[in-house]
Parts: sequence; structure tokens; C-alpha cells
Amino acid sequence: MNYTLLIQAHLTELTLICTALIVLMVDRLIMVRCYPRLRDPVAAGLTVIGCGIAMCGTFQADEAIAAMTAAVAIISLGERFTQQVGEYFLLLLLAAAGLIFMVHSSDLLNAFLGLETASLTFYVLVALDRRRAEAVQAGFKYFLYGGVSAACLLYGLSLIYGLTGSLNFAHCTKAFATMPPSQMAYVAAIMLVVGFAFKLAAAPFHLWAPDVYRHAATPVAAFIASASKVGGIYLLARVAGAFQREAMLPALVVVTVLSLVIGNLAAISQTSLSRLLAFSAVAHAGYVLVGLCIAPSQPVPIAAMVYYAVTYAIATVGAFGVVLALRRDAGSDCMSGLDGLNQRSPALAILLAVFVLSLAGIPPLAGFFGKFYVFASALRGGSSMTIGVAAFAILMSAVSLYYYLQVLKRVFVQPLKDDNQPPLQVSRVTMILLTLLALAAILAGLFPQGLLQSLAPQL
Amino acid sequence: MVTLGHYLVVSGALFALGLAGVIARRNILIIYMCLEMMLSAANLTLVAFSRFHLVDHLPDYGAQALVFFTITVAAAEVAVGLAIIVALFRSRQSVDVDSITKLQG
Repeated sequence: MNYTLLIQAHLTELTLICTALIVLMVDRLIMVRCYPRLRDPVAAGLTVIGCGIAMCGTFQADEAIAAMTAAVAIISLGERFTQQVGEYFLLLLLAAAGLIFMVHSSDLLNAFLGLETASLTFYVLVALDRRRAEAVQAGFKYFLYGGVSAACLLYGLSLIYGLTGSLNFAHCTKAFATMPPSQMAYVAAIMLVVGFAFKLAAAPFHLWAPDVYRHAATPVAAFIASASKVGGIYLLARVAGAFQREAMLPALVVVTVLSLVIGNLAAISQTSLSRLLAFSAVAHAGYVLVGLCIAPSQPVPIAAMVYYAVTYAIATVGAFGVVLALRRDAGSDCMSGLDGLNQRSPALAILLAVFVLSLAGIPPLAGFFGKFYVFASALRGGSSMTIGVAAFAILMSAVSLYYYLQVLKRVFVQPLKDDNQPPLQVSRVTMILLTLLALAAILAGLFPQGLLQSLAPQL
Repeated sequence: MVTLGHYLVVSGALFALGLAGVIARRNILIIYMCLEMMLSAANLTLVAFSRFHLVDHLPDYGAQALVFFTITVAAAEVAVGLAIIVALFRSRQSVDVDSITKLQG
């Protein structure tokens, strides 16, 4: 084993971990004593620089995760939910490093270690605002569900090891190709699907999502909704590619259909914007899982699924940026706070419209092509069942238009209650970031082929 | 003679017991212990498979070494989990799950 090669292969993670340590040291040793007012901007700035260095190279799933981390660091500016500024940014960077390690690994167990590194930091991040009882309780709920899912995943992995004698992706693919599906393979498949469904907030294992999205600090919720989705979907697609898909298909179809139904129907009745985003996340987990409900002989459309996850993450971080402004203004993220937003802050209203329409999958925006590629790969050469699942997903995405347009109706049609309400307070940096995210959502929609090709994994 | 099947039955039973405990128990600490039991069950399966998976007439020690990493994950989970439980106890003075009342599900 050559150490230079090892360092080169994991340069991104090493950059992020070094940045994390530098952020903590600078914050604790210099900023706390000398410039306590500048702690936030300096820590966020260092985080963004570290993520920027980590993003050098072709834009793939790992660079997308680093970009999301930088975006979350920027919207964390001025959010005073914790006194532990240095620790907060350290945890963000460590979670990103864990997710990127998971994306880079060529071995199931290493991927599991990366996933758990990220998950353990997420639990702490959710419960970080420990003066608020809701945040701690949401953190505990997330921890409990996440712990069960980790145990299920590890059990599934140990059964895969038992079946193939190795946990290497390439070795597993080869070993499973010649093996008829056995009972043990079905048990392993169920364990894996349960574990991943928890992590991706797919129904019926989504119960932590609404509480975590609502009660965690807004930037943390944005981070969990974006970066962890990209990493989780990438890993699930690779595991499904290496595993026997005949065994996995029944469990996957059940989870997909349930996510589509529960996510879309429950989102209709929500009154809080962050809970609406949580149920929309459940629905989106369903849409992206359609890509795996394909005939076992077909290759897994991994590039399409990662494209979907990245465009979803862009729109979600943007939407959470608006939630943040809303919370700072009204103290809650109740949807009635959006009434007449178009008259109060027109720029923010247009940005929110771009993000919501991208989530809904309206054609010129990125969200549409995400859905298009995933559904097209399911429809291409599928059996009657896979075509049925894809058709159902298209039907449910028509249902989802209802609640997305409800949000926009409040913004653009409802009159302002009080004409003298001041515009929403958004810092200039956050505004620039939101504009960039909206531009990314539009450009990724106008030129989808470039992003799709760059996201295709070079294994 | 203890065979692979015996180990798998024990680890399966441990996993099922742990899952049942997580679902049925009300005390946070006991739920938490059950969670650890589920992870241990998975580790036991991994070790048993690697003991009986012979490479050149020797057990596959590579996989057994990997188990150390997953034990580390379980230990890290202990640290994070207990910290969250302490914060929870401070806010509610109780270790009963029914005291978690601020969430809507």
C-alpha cells in the first residue's frame, strides 16, 4: 500500500477534516478571547474556504456534498442558536467528511463507517440547541430511529458477507451474478431496504423527519435535507447495483409506493412550511426510489438518481433559506407568514417560486429533468409492474402540485394583512447565495446533459 | 460441535430481542441497551461468518478485524446517545419515553 496514493484518494475528506480542526482551534484559541463578535463570520468563512478547496475537480456527488456544506455554512451566519460556534462548524465539516468518505469507499463496511460518522454528527447537530426541549427531543427521536436503522443495515451487511465472503462492491457484484436468490438474500435485502429507508426518510420509516425538520435549527435541517440525501441516494444506488435485485425488488416497491402516497397526502394538510418540506422529502424519496424499481437485468440508473438528489438538494437548501428569513421575522414558520410576500419582498418571493417550482418539477427547472430521467429509466424496458410504479409516481407528482401551488398562492395572490409590514430581513450574503442556488436550479434545468454526464460515477 | 447455524440462531434471537425491546419498552435507558444489543447481534453474525469462511484453511481474519471498527461505531453511539439522554433528562427530569411530549410525529 502506497501512502501517497491513499492520501490522494481521500484528499477531499482530509481537507475537510483539517478545516474542521482549524475552525475549532481558531474559534477557541483566538476568537473567543479577542474578537467575540466576529466568531460567526470567521468560522463560516473558514468553513466555506475549506469546502471550496475540497470542491476542486470534476463536479460529482462528493463535490456536490461539499457545495451543500458551504451553502449551509453561509445560511448559518447570524443564526444565534448556540454558543458553541466552533463546535457547530466542526460538526458540519465532520458530517460532510463522513458522507464524502462513504461516497468514495469501494467497500460496503467502509461505506457503513462513513454513513455512521455522518449520522452520529447529525444527532448531535439536531440536539445542539439544548436549551430548547423540542430540539433535544427531536434529536433523541432521530437518534433512536437512526440507531435502529444502523443496526438493521449492519445486520444486512453481515448477511451479505456471509453470502459472498467479501464486502467489496466489485466482488459482491460478481458473486451475486451467478447465485440464485436464497432465503438469506431476501432477509438481507429487507434489512438493507429498512436501513436505507430510515436514512432517506422513506415511508413507513419517515416518522422522525417532520419533527427533526421542524425543531432542529433551520441550517441543520437544511443540511440533513440536502447533503445526507445526496450521499444516501448515491450509496443506495451502488449497493443496489452490487446486490441481487430480484431479492430487493419486493421490499423496494412497497417502500416506494408507500412513500409516494404518505408523503404527498400528508403534505397537503400541513400548516408549517418546514413540516411541508419534510413530507415533500418523503415524497421525493419515493420518486427517486422509482429508479431502483426496474427490471433486475437493467443497470441501475445511478447518474440519473444522483442528478435527482443534487437538484433536489439545491431547491431544498434554497427553500430552507426562505424558512430561515420567515422564522427570523415572525418567530415561526407558519404558512400564513407567507401571505403577500410578493408585496413585502418581491426578490425573495421570486426566489421562493423558483425553488418551489423546481421541487414540483415544472419543465424549465432542474427538478423536472431529475424526475424525467429517473422515470424514463424505469419505463425503458421495464415489466408491467415497473411501468405501473412509474405511472403511479407521475400521477402522485400531479397531486403534489396542489400543495406546492398553495404555497405560491399565499405568496403571490393573498393580500398583505397589514400594509406597513417591513420587508423580511435577509442578510446580503444569504441573498447572494439564494440567487446563486436559484440560478443553479435554472441552469441545471436548461443544460441538464452536462451535469448528468459529470455526475456519472467513474468507477 | 458448534456450527455456523448455532451462531446464526443466537445472533438472530439477539437481534429480534433487541428490536422487540426498542419497540415495547418505555424506559429510555433500557431502549438504549436494546439498541446496543441489535448492533452486537450484527457483529456476532459478522464474526461467525468470518470464522467459518476459510481462506487457505484459515479463518478470514480480515473480516474479523473489520468488526473492531463496527464496535468503535457502537462505542461512539454510546457517547452521543448518553449525551442526548442526559440533555433530555435535564429538561424533563424523567427517563420515560412518554415524557417526550413536544413532538407531533
